Amino acid sequence: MWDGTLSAADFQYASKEFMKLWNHEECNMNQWSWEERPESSAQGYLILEGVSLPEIETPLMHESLSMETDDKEELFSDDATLTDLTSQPSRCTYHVIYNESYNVPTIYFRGYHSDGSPINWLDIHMSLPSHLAQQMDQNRWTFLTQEEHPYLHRPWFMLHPCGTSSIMSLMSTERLKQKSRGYATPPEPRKRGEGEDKQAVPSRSSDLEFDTKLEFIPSIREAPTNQVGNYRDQYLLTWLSFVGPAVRLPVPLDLFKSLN
Amino acid sequence: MGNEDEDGKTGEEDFAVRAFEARKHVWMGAIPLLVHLHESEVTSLPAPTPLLILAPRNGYLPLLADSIKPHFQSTLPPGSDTIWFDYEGLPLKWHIPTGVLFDLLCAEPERPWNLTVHFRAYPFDLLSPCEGEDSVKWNFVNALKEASYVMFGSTKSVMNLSQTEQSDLWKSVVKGDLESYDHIFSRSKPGMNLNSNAPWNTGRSASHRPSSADSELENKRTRGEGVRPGRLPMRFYIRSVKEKFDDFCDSSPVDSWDQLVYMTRPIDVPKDKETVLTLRDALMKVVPHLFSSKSPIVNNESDESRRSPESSAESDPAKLGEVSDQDTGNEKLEPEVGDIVVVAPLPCGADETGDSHEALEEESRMNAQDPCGNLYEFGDEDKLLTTTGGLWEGLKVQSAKQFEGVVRIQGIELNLDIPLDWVARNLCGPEMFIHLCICTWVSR
Repeated sequence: MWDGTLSAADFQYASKEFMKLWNHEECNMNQWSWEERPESSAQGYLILEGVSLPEIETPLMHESLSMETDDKEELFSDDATLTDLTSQPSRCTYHVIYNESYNVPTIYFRGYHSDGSPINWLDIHMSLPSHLAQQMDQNRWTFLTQEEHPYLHRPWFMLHPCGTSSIMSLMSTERLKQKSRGYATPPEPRKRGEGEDKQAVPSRSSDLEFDTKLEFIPSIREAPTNQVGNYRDQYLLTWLSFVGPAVRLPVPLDLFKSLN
Repeated sequence: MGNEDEDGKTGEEDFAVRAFEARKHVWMGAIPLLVHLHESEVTSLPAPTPLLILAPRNGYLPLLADSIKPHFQSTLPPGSDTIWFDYEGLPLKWHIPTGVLFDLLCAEPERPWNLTVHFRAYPFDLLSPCEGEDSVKWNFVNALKEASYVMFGSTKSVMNLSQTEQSDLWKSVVKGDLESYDHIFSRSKPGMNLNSNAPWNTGRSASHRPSSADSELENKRTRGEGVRPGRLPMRFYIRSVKEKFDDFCDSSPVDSWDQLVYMTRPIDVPKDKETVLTLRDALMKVVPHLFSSKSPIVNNESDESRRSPESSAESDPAKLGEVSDQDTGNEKLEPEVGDIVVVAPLPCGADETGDSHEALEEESRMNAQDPCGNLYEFGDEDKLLTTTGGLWEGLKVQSAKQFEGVVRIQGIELNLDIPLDWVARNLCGPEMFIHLCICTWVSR
C-alpha cells in the first residue's frame, strides 16, 4: 500500500506536469511558475501570484477603520470610501513547497487587503467555511499557523503537512476500489458506512488534521502495477483539491476532467 | 565509546551512564546574557542597568520573559508588551534554540552575550508572531512531531502522549530537567528514548514509511531492542565569512537573515549495521559545495609519531608532490594503516605492463592512484593492494576532501569523522533535532 508520500524528484516532476496542465487549460487564470532553489532537494518550488480573493466584510475591519476615522477624519469621512474598500479584493500569493521531513508538498500563502494591510489569522478564520473554521479553532496550533517560509525566511501562513500523506494514501485506496468497478462517475456525497460505495471521507484520527468532503473523485486511467508512477502525474492536482478550500485557493474542476 | 569490555553487560551499562552524563552536560549548558533594554523604550532616568541572566542552551529566548520583564517593568512606556530580542540589530528568531542562535551569530563566542530586549514595535514582517509561552510550546511540539516522523515514519510517539505528559514534557524543557524529559519518553511508543543503552548497530532499522512503522516498532519495543531511526532530523545553518580568519572576532556580524542559509534536511541512516554514518557524510550530502576539490593525504590524527613532513602540506595541498620529492627523495609517500587516502580513478590504459593480456588484467585491477603515484585496486572492502603487492588492511579509501569551514553543535567544534548516531543521542536540541552551525569561508 502506498503511503501517500512523494520523493523530491517526483515532486519536481509532478510540479512541472501540474504547471503545464494548469497553465494550458486555464489561460484566463493566474499562471503558476517555478522558482529555482538549489538548497531544496526538489531544486525549487511552485509559485502562484496575484490571486484575487473577494474581500470578506469582517466586523474587525470596520472597527479598525472607525478607529482610524478618529485620527484621520479628512480621509475617511466619506462613507462611499468605506464601501469601496470592502468590496475591493485582497490579493494572495501561494507557494507549494516540498517538505523535506514529511516528504509531501506543503502550501504556504500570504495576502494583503486592498489597503495594504496584511491578511491575518482572524481574517482567514472569518473567510473559511464553518467546518474548516472549526478546525482552525480546535487545532489552533497544528492546522493553519504562521511559520517561517523555508526559503524567504519571513512569516507566511502554512497548512500543516502531517495529515497529507494519510489522506493521499487513503485516496489512492479509494481509487483502486473504483478502478476495480470500472471508471467512476462523480458520486453523490454519502454518509460513511453505507455499503461499499463509500466516499473517501477520511476518518478523524490523530494523524489527520482536517476533514474534507470530496465532491468529485477523478476517474483514473488504466494504471500500471507501479501505482506511484502513475499517481505522480495527478498527485498535485489531487492534493490541491483538498488543500485548496482551506486556503481559499480556487481549483477549477474542469482540470480533473481533462485528466481522462 | 562502545562495548569493548569483556564483560559485555557492564560495558553496556557503563556506556549508558557515560552517554547520559554527556547529555546532561549539554542540557545544563547555558549562555550568560547581558540584556539591555532598547533605548526607545526607556522612559526613566537614570536608564535601567542591563540584566545579567543565564539562558539555557536547549531553551528559547521568550521563556526568559518572566525573569527579564520585572527588571525593566518600571521604565517601560504604557501599553501592551510583546517580548523580542535583537543582537547587533538583527531580530532574533524565537523558535530557534538559544544555544543555536549563539553558536551561529557569535563566530567568536562572546561572554556574556550582549542582547537588546524590546517589548514594543514587534517586527511582524520579520518574526512570526509570538503570543507568549503557548506559541513557543506549540512550535516545540510541532518540531518534536516532525522529528518523530523523520526518525520513525510516524508522529504517534508524540500524539499519543497524554495532555499531562505533554505538559510535563514542556515543563521539563522550560526548566532544563533532563531526567523528567527522558522519563516521559521512556514510556512513549514508539520509543523516542534517546538514552536507550542499546546502540543503533544492534537494532534493526526503523522503516521510515508510515504505514508499516507502528506495529514494527511496537514489537521492537516489547522485545527491548534499540530502535534504529530510519532518518536523522537535522537542521543546517550556514554562515559565510569573507576570509578564512584564524580569529573569528574580525568577521562582521550578521545584519540580515538573508545572509544566512538555513534548512531542514533529514539524513538517511544506512540500513546495514557495519556502515558508520559520520558527520562528514551528512555534510557531503547536504553541502557538498563546501568541500574543496584539492585534498592532501590526511594522516591518522591520533598518532602524532606517524606524522611525516608532508602533513605540513595539509594547509597547502597543491605542494604535496613537491614536499615528498624534496624531503623523502626517491621514497614514495606510504600511507599507514588507518590513514585516509585520496585516490583518483585512473584513465584506462594508464598502466605500462607489456603483455596485452596481463595489461588488461592489470588495468582492470589498478583503478585508482593517489597523488604520490601509489596505485590501488578496489577489491574486498577495506583491503587494498599496491603495485608492490603489500597489503594494507583497514585502509579507508575515502574522498577525504577538505571541509572549508567550521562546524559547531551545542557550541562544540566537532571532528567531522565523529559517528552521527552519537551526535544524535547526545547533542540534539530539545526537539530532538541536530542543529549544525556552519561557518564557512566559501563564498555563496
